[in-house]
Amino acid sequence: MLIPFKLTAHSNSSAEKSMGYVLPENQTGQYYQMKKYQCNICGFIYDELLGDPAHGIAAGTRWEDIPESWSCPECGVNKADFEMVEI
Amino acid sequence: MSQPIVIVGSGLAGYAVARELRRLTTDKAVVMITADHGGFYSKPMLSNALSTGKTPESIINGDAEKMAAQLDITIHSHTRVEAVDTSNQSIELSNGERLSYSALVMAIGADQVRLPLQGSGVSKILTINDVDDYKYFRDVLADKKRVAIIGAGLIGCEFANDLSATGYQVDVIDISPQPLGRLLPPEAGAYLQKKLEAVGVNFHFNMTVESVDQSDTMMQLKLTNGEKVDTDIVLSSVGLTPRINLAKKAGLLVNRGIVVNQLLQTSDENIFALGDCAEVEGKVLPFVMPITHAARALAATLAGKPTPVVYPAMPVLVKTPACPTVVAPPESGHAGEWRVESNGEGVKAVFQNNSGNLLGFALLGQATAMKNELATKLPPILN
Ligand SMILES: Cc1cc2nc3c(=O)[nH]c(=O)nc-3n(C[C@H](O)[C@H](O)[C@H](O)COP(=O)(O)OP(=O)(O)OC[C@H]3O[C@@H](n4cnc5c(N)ncnc54)[C@H](O)[C@@H]3O)c2cc1C
Ligand SMILES: [Zn+2]
Repeated sequence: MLIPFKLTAHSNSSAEKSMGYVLPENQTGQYYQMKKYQCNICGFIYDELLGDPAHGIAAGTRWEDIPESWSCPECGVNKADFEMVEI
Repeated sequence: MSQPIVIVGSGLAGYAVARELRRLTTDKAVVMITADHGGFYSKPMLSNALSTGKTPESIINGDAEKMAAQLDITIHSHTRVEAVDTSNQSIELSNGERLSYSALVMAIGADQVRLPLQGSGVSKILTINDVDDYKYFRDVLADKKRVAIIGAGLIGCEFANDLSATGYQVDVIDISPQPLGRLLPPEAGAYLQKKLEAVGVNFHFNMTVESVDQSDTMMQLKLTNGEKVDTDIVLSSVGLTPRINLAKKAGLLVNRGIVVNQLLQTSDENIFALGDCAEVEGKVLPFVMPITHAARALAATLAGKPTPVVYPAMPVLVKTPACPTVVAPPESGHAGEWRVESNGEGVKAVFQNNSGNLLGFALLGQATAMKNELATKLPPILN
């Protein structure tokens, strides 16, 4: 069930985080469930909610919006070596 | 002032320890000593770099200077550790210097096994186990068309797929009757073979190489059945052997690898090992995922909280796009049998003991979709 909270991509309250929902950029009122992607090689998990701020990817950045030049912060492989995982 | 933590090696294992340590503490001095350039790169990307359009240079994510700044560590590249003096807790470097350590981490990797072969071309046989080897290979490959690969294991099959998908003529020779002989039951091996043959790989199974000769224009392999394979480059990928000499010379316990307990601790309490060089509780696992787990545990231990490493099941993805494959081999010595289901779209092979417990699997083609579901049913590798 998607609950219409007023959340933003950069919010960090833990309640909001645990909900895993943020408003999409266009604010059309549709809610987006944050996803996680796992590196097939080393097991690192990219969580859209947390992003990868150490490498310039802000919290809340969706997988599709990560540049192709980004690589796994733990083992260095390409974006293509990740797959979506269930939460 | 206390002595630094010294990490030997700048592969994925050395960097993983440095990074995990920095997550836990910023006030311990860390020095990394490495025989190579010291850049951080993904070794697994070497075996699909042609298909993904990568050059050896573009595979390196950060050079030693950038990494040292990012992790707030000191890196001495192109420097070998020649000896370890365990009683004085110091190491001797190839530049003649000595360095004391509070804790020493050996992350020195493995060597490619070299088969004892005959012929005038033996010294020209290449192996690829790091980005420098790979750079040399790509330079040699530039004006060539044919590559012969000795060994149809993980690395051999991945390079075979990458080369043949990008237009090279590829021959693969292996002593076993199928590709990935140690990881796949026969039906699964046959499926992978068929898929790789469909992209042009030419297999020579049940065969060893008798000699490798070099002429002005080409190289030639003579196989045990008398068959001759003409080629331009010979790549050997018949297995890895952990680098144990440094540890052995220092009097540390070694076996197949540098022997460590679940704390990744060698027979000397201040010296640790992980990655391709280490034998953790009897297991040598030359893959990335074990490194991730080991580095996390070791960093905690080095930061003051002794933490044994735990390995969950760790399926390995084989990077053969012609036939997507995931393997979780059963531990050797475990009794059980393979059950194989296949259709035109893939193969699902599960290894079960006689109580029906899942101990390993191999998934090919569409069956790889079952990876996560099956992985949760596997026993942990070390707990
Ligand atoms: C082509 C290829 C593809 C692969 N694909 C996969 C894959 O898809 N999935 C997977 O899980 N695994 C894969 N692997 C295996 C994986 O890459 C390795 O397990 C991992 O990279 C090993 O890291 P390491 O740090 O232990 O060793 P290494 O990367 O070998 O690092 C050893 C380091 O120690 C240094 N060193 C050695 N001796 C000394 C000394 N005396 N003094 C100073 N420095 C020293 C070396 O210079 C180097 O920096 C692949 C391997 C290869 C070769
Ligand atoms: Zn990774």
